[in-house]
Amino acid sequence: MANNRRRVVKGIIAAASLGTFIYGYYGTVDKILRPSVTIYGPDKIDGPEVRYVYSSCLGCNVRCGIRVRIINVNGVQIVERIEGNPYHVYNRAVLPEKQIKRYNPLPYSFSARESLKYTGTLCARGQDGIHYLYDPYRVVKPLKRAGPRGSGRWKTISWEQLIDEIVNGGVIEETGERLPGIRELFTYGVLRDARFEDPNNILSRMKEDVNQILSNSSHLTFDELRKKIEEFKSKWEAELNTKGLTLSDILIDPDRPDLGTKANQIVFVRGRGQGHSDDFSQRWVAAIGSINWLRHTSSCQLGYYAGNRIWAGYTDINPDVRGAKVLIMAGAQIGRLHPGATGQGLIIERAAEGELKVYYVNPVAPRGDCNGNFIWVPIKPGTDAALAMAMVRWIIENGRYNKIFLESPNEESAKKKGEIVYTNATWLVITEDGHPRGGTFLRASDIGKGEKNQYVVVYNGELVPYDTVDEAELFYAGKVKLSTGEEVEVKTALQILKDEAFSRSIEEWCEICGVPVETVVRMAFDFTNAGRAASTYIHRGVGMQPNGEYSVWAYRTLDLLIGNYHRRGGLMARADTTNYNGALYNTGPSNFGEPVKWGPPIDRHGVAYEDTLEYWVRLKRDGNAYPAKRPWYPLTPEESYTEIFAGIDEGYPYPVKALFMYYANPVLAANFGIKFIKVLRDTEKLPLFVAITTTINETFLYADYIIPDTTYLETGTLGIQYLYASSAGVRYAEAWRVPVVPPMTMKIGEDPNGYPRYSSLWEFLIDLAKKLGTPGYGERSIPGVKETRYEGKWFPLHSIWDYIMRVYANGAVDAVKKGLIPEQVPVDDVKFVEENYWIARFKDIVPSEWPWIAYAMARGGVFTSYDESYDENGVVKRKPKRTLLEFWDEKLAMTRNSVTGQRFYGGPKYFPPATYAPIEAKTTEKWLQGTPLREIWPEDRYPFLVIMPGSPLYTKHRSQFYYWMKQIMPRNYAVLHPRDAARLGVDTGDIVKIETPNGYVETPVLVEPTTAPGIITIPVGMGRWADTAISKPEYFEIREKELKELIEAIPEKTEIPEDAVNPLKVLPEISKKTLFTKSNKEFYESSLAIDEWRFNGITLNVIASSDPSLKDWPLLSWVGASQVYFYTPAKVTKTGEKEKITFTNMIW
Amino acid sequence: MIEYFYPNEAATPLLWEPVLFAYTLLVSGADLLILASLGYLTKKLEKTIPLLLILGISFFSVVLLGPLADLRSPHKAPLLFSIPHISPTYTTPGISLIAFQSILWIIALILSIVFMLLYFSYPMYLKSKEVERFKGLYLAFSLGVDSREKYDKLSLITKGIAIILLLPATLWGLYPSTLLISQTWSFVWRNWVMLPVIYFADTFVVATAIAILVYFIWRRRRMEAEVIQPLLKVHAAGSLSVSALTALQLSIWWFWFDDSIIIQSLTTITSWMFIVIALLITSFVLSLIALRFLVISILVSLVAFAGTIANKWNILMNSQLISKTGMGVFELHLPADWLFKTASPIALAIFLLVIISSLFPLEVKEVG
Repeated sequence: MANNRRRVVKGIIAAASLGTFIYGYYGTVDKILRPSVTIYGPDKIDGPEVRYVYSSCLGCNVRCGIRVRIINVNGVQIVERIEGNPYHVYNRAVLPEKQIKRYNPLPYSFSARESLKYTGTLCARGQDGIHYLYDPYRVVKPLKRAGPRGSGRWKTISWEQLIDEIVNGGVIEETGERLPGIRELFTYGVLRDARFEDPNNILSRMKEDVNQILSNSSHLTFDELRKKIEEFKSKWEAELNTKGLTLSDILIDPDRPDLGTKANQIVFVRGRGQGHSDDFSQRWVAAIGSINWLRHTSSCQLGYYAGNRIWAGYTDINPDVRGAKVLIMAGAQIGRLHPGATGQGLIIERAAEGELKVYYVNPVAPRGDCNGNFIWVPIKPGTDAALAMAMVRWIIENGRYNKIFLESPNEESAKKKGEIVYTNATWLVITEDGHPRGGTFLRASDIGKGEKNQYVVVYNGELVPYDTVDEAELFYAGKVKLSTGEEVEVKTALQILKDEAFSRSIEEWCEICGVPVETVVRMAFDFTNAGRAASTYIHRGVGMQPNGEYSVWAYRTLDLLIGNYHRRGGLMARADTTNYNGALYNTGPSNFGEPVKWGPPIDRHGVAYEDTLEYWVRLKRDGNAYPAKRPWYPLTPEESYTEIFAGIDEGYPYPVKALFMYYANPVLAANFGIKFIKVLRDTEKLPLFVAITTTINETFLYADYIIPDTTYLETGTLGIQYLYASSAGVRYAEAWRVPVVPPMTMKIGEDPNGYPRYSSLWEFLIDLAKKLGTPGYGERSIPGVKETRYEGKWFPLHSIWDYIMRVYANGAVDAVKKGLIPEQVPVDDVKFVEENYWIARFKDIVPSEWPWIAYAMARGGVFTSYDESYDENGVVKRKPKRTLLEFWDEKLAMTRNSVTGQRFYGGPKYFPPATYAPIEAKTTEKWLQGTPLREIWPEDRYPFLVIMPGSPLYTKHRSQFYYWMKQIMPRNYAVLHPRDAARLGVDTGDIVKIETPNGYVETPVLVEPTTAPGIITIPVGMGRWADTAISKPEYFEIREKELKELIEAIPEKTEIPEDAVNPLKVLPEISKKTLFTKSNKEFYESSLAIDEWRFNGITLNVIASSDPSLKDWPLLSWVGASQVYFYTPAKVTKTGEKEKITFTNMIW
Repeated sequence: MIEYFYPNEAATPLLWEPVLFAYTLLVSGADLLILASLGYLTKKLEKTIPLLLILGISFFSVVLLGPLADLRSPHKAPLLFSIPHISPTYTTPGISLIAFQSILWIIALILSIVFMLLYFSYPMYLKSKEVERFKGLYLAFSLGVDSREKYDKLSLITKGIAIILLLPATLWGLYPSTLLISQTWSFVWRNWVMLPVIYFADTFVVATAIAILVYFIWRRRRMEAEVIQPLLKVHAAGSLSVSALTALQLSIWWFWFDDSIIIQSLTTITSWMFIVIALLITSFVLSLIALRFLVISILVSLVAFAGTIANKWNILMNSQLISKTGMGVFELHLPADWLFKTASPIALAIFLLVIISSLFPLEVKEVG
């Protein structure tokens, strides 16, 4: 009985368990029996259908090396894999059996074919570059708008019609609008067509006359100045009339001849710049005679550039991370800044192994602590100079600066000590308050002891010319009697820095920046305890602030104090380069017979307001020339998005007639760039807008014509790419970008050699130039270089191949000359390239130089090793761009704010982030010219600051085509510190409203202590709404009525002929499936289906900071005109809605 | 056809669903086999060997169902056996740990079945004499061993197999934690340095708890001290070890992360660790009491289950809720049918237990 009962119980248990198993496991069994995946064989990695090409990446702008595997499937060249280049100094070589330990690049002489056994490291973005090439939203045929600007309606036109209409003008048939051509703006051509024998003779004489007026302006009365201008006009009207022209046919404004010729009204703006697409477009702009070849640098790193240029005379300076023992890494994001996610692997490896200590100064935490050697130092945005000053104070107080190095007052005395650079620490500066010479260096001539070009130092208590002694006093303050009899206060440049650093206690500085005193002391101690192998490593977080240039300089004084410049482990300017534009052929942007040009650029960079006729006329007429209509930026090295668009909008300093924009998206990429839409929509202010691009983005939505461009895996941005600072610490490091596959854009014909031409930037500019008849294009275009075998010869330029093959030839020949490429190239290396590289078919353009070209191409560029890049004293063999490094800059001290007319402070100093000019006359500090932003938007109203850092995955808004990365991080969100989250009552996944003075965005929140309290971090790269297809944005609202209406006017969808987009149609089905495993077939098969991933997430830029003192245009830094990305005051409220943040979202 | 592993597959959510939690419980099957082998070799747990063997085989044979259910493409699982990457090649260095363990699983399973058949051979012969039904079946299981002498001679081979079985079973006992530490990028797992030893000790806790539970259900008030006491002793040692090692891990984290933001993120995990320590200490104390009062052993088993489930859930599920930076904490979102999915491999193990225990006795009176 008991046994029976036991059996029954066992039977029930058995049945129940079997039932549970079947029910619970049915799903798995079903997946096994009916798998929902496509069976696909392994990739072919060798054989006749497989080839390998070394090139250069463009996932970001770091220019790492790539090796691309291409497979031929029924005549279609398909990119299957992108990996790292083992020769490249950033990627370094990885052996299959040795993947974990640290490694070096392959020796440059290593056989190309053998190199295939190795690979190189490459970040996620680099590997995902395939999706850039194979993007269904790519435009492949020229388009012309078929409705009002921004309507999203387009029609296809032929290449010939495109070129003709842009040169001679066209009509939008659907609206009846007339579009102007650029022929009448090509002043050189206008003169030539009027039968002036030598247009440049006219232009150069005219320019000379303009310079004459300007140089005499200061001595003239208003009437005399007017008379001079009238005389100029009469003279030139008379001469031009002889051929039927008037001065108005040539100059923008005959009353303002300093603005230059009408060619300046053609503006070329590029976003992403790369080696030879830059040289080539610059050459085109030079060929049409315009001054306006402009870049996106304000949105890139302009504050950092401008700051560096002040103290070092050069823009791009960062540390040798391979040799450094301590780094103060401030505002430089891991995974973002050069050497990028790939190259920064070395920093992480060295830190993890205890060879390097990194103080990561950033409101956002690093992604690891590397065994305690990555120390996060959260800082309040915009206060970096305060931290630097605290360190400077500690270093000076404790005497831990490099006295011997700093005491050298001139280059010769420095050389005697084995130094390659010297500083102006000992030079005396006139610091007398209100004195006209205040801020300038005291000259020997001022005290009757020498010449005007001799600075004065203190030696043994005596004032002496700086070049008469080998050392001088570092700290001095006193009164000096000038030859004029005046007595003025003077201080050494280092004394001024000391006074600034000692103007507050370390505790007070720390209070400003929010960094604990003990951390600052520890940082200063470690920094000065590593000899010269310590360095600051700074970038956007520091530079992209209103006070950016001053903060950059403040940090860099730490480097000056230890004297680490161009030393192993110290700061370095970029690597040396081969002569890739002038070794044999002149492929550079000048000296090919281009028109003479002059005038200020539309964004007024590099030109002082005080050097314009506007200034002199107003000064002479009104006695005061301030405020200028918009600021001028004489000390900035590059261009500003804000000022380009504000300039076009306000017609200041002159109206623009045609805008050519290439590879850019300022509407989305600039802080509050949404304001630019106002300009782009306005056909009066911008009569012609031409976009050269791969897809139609938020900016190009307003273009009149779209020119399909090629990607970097085709012919896009080909050429030689120098590496940014510090180029892995080696002497030469250049990546070569070559075409990996033939372009997927429309074939537009063949050149006279029978070589194919495809729609792209290159061919577009060539055909425009040929149609206009500019110098430098056509049969006799590229001059041979003097003192070479091609001196006196001219070469044709009918296609990209004519140009780019000669660029490679220059680089290769110069590399041979420098001993980097052997005279006798191994035959197999040449064979390797000829078997694998599509570009080898153009070798007949440069037959003599081909073997050397092939040698470099087979290695993806020209590289030297780390060890051979230093001398026995640890000095890098690169040539420093300038030998004088500054603690005080006279030029800056003499530069005036264009609105207030007041001088800028001439040394490193802490200023609170502020507007350019005062609001309601509010200023709080003597040298501060604007109003602190926190006075305008106080913390009680806007308790947070929002910042938008890059990440190892996303660094640009264009990154949305990277579909493999999208699977790791499909969308972004706002990261909030747990303490702030608790105060607001929000959890991960709650949707919040982030309100700034310009509007609001709504986004889910990720609660993590990876962001400092009081900071909202929104990872950059998302929030798109136009990328050929349109998905109308709903995540933000703009406060300003006009802009709000412009956003509302964005069309619901785009209308483009089916055959003008989606180059993927030629790919085999399996390739498409492999590329877009997560997307609906409709996305990659048909044209313009909306893919959610492409348009999800948010960008803060739409509501980021603007400058109320400058008509609310996007906020800029004061000196460099850099966009301000890291200072947007905000408040946060909970919406009550939730969105699931899944595990796939946790990596950012 | 060999299939390709797409990069995007590697980027799928790292959340291992609770079905894998069941897997780590089932791995205790390996420890039951270890105990059975050791018992056989040392003659220390003689009376419990049939129980441990049957339980061990039942649990161990279904162990791979956990990870199989967790795979996105389970139909590819046979590739682990057909093209296992267990020796490095020039182009593909390293080895696949999961392929290696899968092959070991087959070896261990075969060895344990052979061990079981040899162990039960003579008892099966004896049983064939006692019964009327299924006589032939029992004779077949006797493998022709019809005398004590033959059985004694066979014990040499049985011992050899028991010794060999120890290696793959031990590697399996260590495997889950090794996998977590070395094959993933979870911040918590990477920093849970005591995980391998905790895991190994914990599987003994689970193994003995299961054995005690099954024995209690089977014999209830007729439990024999000879059977239950050795199990309780092993259990007590295991419980004490796991609690001590967990406490040690807590101290290590406090030492490492001190008052850093990371220790804040770990709050949930550390709270659960306190619970685990408390439960297992209780189980340890109860084990000592149960040595004298056998009936208490059911409590030992239940408390130990609570402790070990909390421990495994903490290790497997809570740890995955910490972001890679170690600074973010996520909420757990489970699929609606997670409980059934989790229970299903355990259910099959129970089913097998019922079937095998119907064929082979949980208690053998006359053995070598």
